[in-house]
Amino acid sequence: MGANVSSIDTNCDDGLNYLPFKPKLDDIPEACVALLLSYLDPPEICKLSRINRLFRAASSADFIWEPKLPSNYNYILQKLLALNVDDALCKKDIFAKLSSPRSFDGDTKQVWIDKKNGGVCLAISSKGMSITGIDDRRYWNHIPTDESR
Amino acid sequence: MSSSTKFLTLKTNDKEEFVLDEAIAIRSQTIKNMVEDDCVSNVIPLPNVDSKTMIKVIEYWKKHSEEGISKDKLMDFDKAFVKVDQSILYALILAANFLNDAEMLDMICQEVANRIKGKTPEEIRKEFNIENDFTPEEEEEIRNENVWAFE
Repeated sequence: MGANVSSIDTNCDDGLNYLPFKPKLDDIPEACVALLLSYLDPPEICKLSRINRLFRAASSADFIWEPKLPSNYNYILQKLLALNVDDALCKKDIFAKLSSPRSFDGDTKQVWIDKKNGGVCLAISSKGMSITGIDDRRYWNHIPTDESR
Repeated sequence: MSSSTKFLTLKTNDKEEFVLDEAIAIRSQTIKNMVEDDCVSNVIPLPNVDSKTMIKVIEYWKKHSEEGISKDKLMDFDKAFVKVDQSILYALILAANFLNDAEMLDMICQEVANRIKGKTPEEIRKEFNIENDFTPEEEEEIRNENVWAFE
């Protein structure tokens, strides 16, 4: 009976004469290409969108990008970019927008997401911090140095 | 058949027939839907799957349906299962997609992802025999679209 599989060799060498029709990587459906791209990090996905039209189309599937965005991306979009999710941006564009640093709180803070893992990063300038209890010119002063921005 | 085990006959596009325990065959959502909708008469045709690929699929289904099999054993099995020529992987993707077996599809796509990881588009086109079907204008467009990722 056909379901007997014990004789099947899983090594590579039986592969070439194995199938009547030998599919190639670009024979698989776009949704499956998107699925395999979802296992890669964002820069790699963008790089592979240059392979051909199939890969390009697959690389912008929302289901690839949604899990790579931080869970509070809506909040960040609304607060800092004054954008709503309904603004018809695809998830890839949202990721791209959030990956470049945005300043807020009078330019004393910046937020962005890491391109590789989508983690939220925050930079706070020393001017954006206050020293509890003694945040007073009499005790502290900001002295600019060559390295100050 | 009066026992509790029900068997289904699956027929691949090269006319091979596979008799399989229904409980195993319904790992395929496609087959499961057919069974639930009572669309199954005698033989279930699988027009998009050839017999060689189906043998691999059934090998996977049987292993993953074994009672009490440990996670480690399954992982070892999966590792060996995907060590095949790339065309077999793509045939399996097509089959898993048609049969709608998300678990198997995920696993094989992950393997293909591992094989293309770290390569340039040029290397992938060459190795996987893919034609660059972009116009120079489109290539420029894609570069601009993705500048952010490489800054």
